[in-house]
Formats: sequence, structure tokens, C-alpha cells
Amino acid sequence: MAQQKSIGTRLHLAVLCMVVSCQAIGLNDLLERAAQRSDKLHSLSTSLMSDLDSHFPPLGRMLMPRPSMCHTSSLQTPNDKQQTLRVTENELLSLIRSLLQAWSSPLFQLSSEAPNLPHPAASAIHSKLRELQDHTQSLGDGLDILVSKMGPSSQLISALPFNGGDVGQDKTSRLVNFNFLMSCFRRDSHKIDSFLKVLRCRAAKIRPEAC
Amino acid sequence: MWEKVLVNLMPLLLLPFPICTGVSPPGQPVHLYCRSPEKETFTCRWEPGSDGGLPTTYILYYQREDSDETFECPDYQSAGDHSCFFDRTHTSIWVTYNITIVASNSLGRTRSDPLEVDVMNIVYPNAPENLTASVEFLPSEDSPYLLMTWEPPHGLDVHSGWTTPTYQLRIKQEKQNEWEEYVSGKQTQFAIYSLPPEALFMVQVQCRIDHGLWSEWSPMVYAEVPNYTRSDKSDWIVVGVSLSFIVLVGTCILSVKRKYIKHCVLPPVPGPKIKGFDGQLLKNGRPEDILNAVFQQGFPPTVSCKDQLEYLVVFDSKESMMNSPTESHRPTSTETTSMLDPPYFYADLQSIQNLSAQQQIDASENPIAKHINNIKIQVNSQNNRDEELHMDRTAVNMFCTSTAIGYVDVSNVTEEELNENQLNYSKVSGVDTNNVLLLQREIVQPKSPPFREKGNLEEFTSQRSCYLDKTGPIPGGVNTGLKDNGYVDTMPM
Repeated sequence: MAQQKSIGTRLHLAVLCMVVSCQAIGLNDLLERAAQRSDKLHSLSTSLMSDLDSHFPPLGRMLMPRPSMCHTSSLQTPNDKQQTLRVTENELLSLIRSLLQAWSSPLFQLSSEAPNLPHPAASAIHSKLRELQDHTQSLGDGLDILVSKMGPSSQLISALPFNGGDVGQDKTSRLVNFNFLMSCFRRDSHKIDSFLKVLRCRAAKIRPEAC
Repeated sequence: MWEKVLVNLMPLLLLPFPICTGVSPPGQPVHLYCRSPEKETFTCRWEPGSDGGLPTTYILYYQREDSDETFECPDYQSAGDHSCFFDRTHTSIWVTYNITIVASNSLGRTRSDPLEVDVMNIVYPNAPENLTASVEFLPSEDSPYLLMTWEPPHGLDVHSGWTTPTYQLRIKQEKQNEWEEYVSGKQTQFAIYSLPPEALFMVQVQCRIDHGLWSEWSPMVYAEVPNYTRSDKSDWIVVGVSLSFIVLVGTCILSVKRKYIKHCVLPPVPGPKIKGFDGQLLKNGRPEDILNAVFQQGFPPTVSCKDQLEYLVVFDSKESMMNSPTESHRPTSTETTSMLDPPYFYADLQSIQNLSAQQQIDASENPIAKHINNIKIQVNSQNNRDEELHMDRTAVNMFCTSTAIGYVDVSNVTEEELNENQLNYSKVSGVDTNNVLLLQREIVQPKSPPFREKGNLEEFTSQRSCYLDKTGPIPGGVNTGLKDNGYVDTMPM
């Protein structure tokens, strides 16, 4: 009798393990892809910033707004490793998706300004921005699929309104504003990338070679 | 006198800067760099200015973007002289630090320029460690490969995913001048195959985190490839076998399809096919016989053109026909059956109808139509609309069975227009199978001689019949003369 019971419980455990591992592998794959996409996104924003910096007036650095003026700075995010490792997956995903959402319309505005930017590499910048938009979009879509597999608490998104940004009329202020927005985006893309890589490793308990 | 000297010397003595002792306030310190090796701590270093000959202390002040307080460096020792080490509790990422160094001695203080730093931008890892390169042999083959392994730099937290280093190798043979670079991604091992025998390889590896700065190259590691004989034989055997197989298959295909290939490559030349022409006759016969044979059928062929009419112009009434100034040939007689005035022949509808009735013309056989190339229908728009419509359709219908007709002209002419030389032509846009001719909607001025145009019209596959498009430039709207299937009644009821 006891033996039958133990066989039964073992069977149940085995089935449960399989189900869990099947689901975990699905999530693993999704997180892996998301992390690769965010890595590419951060790489693009880094190269865009270096293109912009190559021809930046020294006066512009003085005029640059403080990073605390970024429209996403009101979102409370972890600021070091200890804090990040303490945050739950759902909350991390919520932060990531809020940041991504907050950038869809500013990127659109940047993309429309890029062809008229008084910068020698304006066309390269424009094409990189379009690529950036595509990657942001596809990452957002992938994360939507990911959170649908997780609980409802991961689906909360904080709204971070973008007030349009006053571009300014003269060459220098347009360039400075563009640069400032891109630096805000680069910081946020690094946050997204770091958080996703932490999530990827956290989910990879079954496949440690993923980390 | 001594007072005078003292008075003169007093200003010199009271001068703020020394003349003889050589001490001064400190020179301005200069930032060198700030670096974070693992995204958890960072270190800033500076270059001191001159110390002015006095003991000078350096104090680092910093402000964070998220607060207004000014802090002092937490640790001046751990990283050595002229450095400040920020440990985990004092380091935040994605926060801008504003750092200033103040050098002070008893004579004064000097501030450095401020430096803005975000840990995200200063990630500079140490070089990867424990690089090993060894020559291994695959168990099944004799050819060796170069296997390189290494470890991430110490202190990096890879397991939690906080840092994900990516690696890059460079390899060179001792006798080569240039390095070959290979990207290894996240892997901590790499292999290179097909090594030349008796070569000495030099290997180095570096890493970076999150598309930041590349680390220094690791120390060089050497690996020697022993002398071995390359077994190229197996390669040649594989090549030979596959080639012979291909040749065999090709030969089979060719032999099976030789007729088809012969047809493709050497197409048969059509022989001469002149009717009544006999090649043998040409060779052997006499000239008279040849000529007779060839010209038997009355060569060259002649076609009687006399009966062909260029235009049949149909008027709706005799009066308008008389009044028409458009053509130079005015009909002089009322005898409408005359067909001897090419290229234009004028008729009015009634006469045509009478003629048709007389000759009991079937819609499919119209001897008149056979001789007519084009029809021009001139409608006096002042008449009753219904009548006009019937007249058009009747006229057209009667002549449309002719295969020779390419041009049906319907002109809607008013009294005024009769005096103008306006030619409005409707182009034929399509032909249906039974008694229907499709006319184009627009009225087009003819620019070319009125021959059959294919252009963008539909194909004239069957010229046996035609119908009037009810949206064409025919005056009047849909009439009861129209049957359900779109065909036009021959006679108005």
C-alpha cells in the first residue's frame, strides 16, 4: 500500500517536473531571445551616441540638461547589483516594459528630426534610429508574449509621459537636445539590457550553461 | 639712511609671493580616469599639480545626481596614491557623479575641473585569466587542432548575470606579421582546425562587458604544432569518386535523351516548300518546265481591290446627307446602290434598310459589308433620340458581320457641327462572339490612317459580330431595343 502510494507520488512528481521544465524551457528561450535583442539595442544606441559625439560643439556640453531631467528618471529603478538581485521577476519585467513603452513616441520624434539634423553623419544616424525603433518594437512584442506566460502582476506598466520636448530653433540647441535625448535612451537601454540578463540567468537554473 | 632703505625694501617684504623661499599654493590637480572593473565598484585617479614646495593634501569631493549633498571620498588607500576607491556601498550605477579634487597647502587651495562620471560609461574589466593553448588530436583523424581555454577575470559576477563578458582572441604564427582576430562571444573556449605542421602559435585574449571598453590583452601563451603528415589522400579519393559519379549520371541522362538534345543543339532546318516546286525538276528539268510548275497558280497573286470601299458613311436622313460638307465627294444622285465612288460612299439609313430588305440579307451574310472597310455613321442629334439610336444600331449591326470592317465611326452631329470639319471617331475596343462590337468611350481624333488598330484594344479574335456599348458616345440612353443579354435588337419594335 505504502509502496503504491510512493510510486503514485513519484509519478506525480515526475509529471510535474516535466511540465515545469517544459514551461521553464519555453520561458528560457523567450528570455534568451529578449536578452539578445536588448543587447543589440544597447549596442546600437552606444554606436549612435559615439557618432553624435564625434561632432559635438564643446559649448553644447555646458548647455546639456542634467540627466535627472530625462523623462524616465521619475521611475524608481534599482541602482546597484544588490538592489537588482532583490527585485522580483514580475517587478523587473514591469520596469523593463515601462521603460520600453516610454520610449516609443520619443524615438518616433527623434527619427523624424534626424534627417534635418545639422550633423555630418545625419543619414547614418537616421538609419540607425530606424533600426533602433524596429528593435524596440520587436523587443516590446516579445516581452508581451513573455508576460502573458507569467502572472498578471508582471503586466503592470507605469506610464511615463513624454511632453514632446522643446527642440529649439538654432543649430546648437537642436543638436544639444538630440544628444540629450539619446543619452537618456542609452542609459535606459543599458538598464533594460542589464535587467534582462539578470532575469535570463535567474531562469536558467535548469540549464546553467546559459549563464 | 637706514630708514630709507627699510622703507624701500618694505613693499618687497610685504609682497604676497616669495622670492627666495620657493613655496607656493599647490598647482591644479588633473583627473586621469575613473574605472569600474565589474560594475560594482569604481576607482578614480588623478595627477597632482606641483605641490608648491609645501606638504599638500588632496581631498576628493563628489556630488550625486540624486542629492544636493557633497560627500568626501570614502577610501584613499586601497587603490594607491592619488586615488579614491568607491566600494559597493558607495557605488551606484545609472547615477551621475560630479567629482572635484581640491589640493590644499598652507598657502592656499586649488580646485580641479569637475568630472562627470556614470559607472555605466567607465566599465573596464581586467583581462581574462588562465589562458591555455594546447594542440589536440581528434580521435578519428591524424590532423591536430588548437584548443584555447580561459576564465573570466576574477571578481566578475557571471553567475547572477550582472555582468556578461564577451571575448575576443588574437592568434599569430611566429613567422607571420599580422594577427588574426576571432570573436568568441560568451564562450570561454575556442578551437582552430587545419593547422600547418611544425608551427609555433602565439595566443592572446581580451574581454569586454555590455559593449563597453575592451580590456587589456592577456599575457601571451604559446603552442607548438608537431610535425605530422597531412593525409590528403582521403580528400582526393572523395573528390575522384564524386566526380566519376557525376560523369556517370550525366552520361546516362545524355544517352536517354539524345534525341531531345540533338533537337536542341542541332535544330532541323525547314526544307523549301514552294507549292508545285520540285527540287528534282530544278536539277534535271528544263527552264520552261520549272516556270510552268511555279507559276501555275497565277503568280503573283492578285486581289481585286476594286470592290473594296474605304468608307461607308450612313446618314440618318437624306437631308443631312445632302447637307454634309465634311467630305468633298457630294453625292450627286439619289441612287444609293451605286458602289463605284471609292473611297467614300454615302448612304442614308433608310436606303440601306431597303437594300437589306431587298436582298433578304441574313445577319451573317452581308454582301455589302464584305466590300466595306469602315463604317462612318453620322447622326443628326436634333432628331428624335430613339430613332437615332435605332439607326445606329441597325446600321452597325448590318455591317458588323463583315470581317473586313475595322473601324466603326459614330458621329453625333448637330446642324452646326455639320458645318464644321469635326471628325469624331469611336474606336473599336472589343469584339464579342455574337453580333456585338465594343466601342471605346472616349471620342478620339484620328491621327493615323484608319486601319485596324490593336493597340490597347482587346484582341480581335473573332470579327464576326459586334455590339454597341451602351455607355459609348451614342446619343440617348438605354433603350428598349436592348435585350437582356446585352445584345442589340436589329429592328426597333
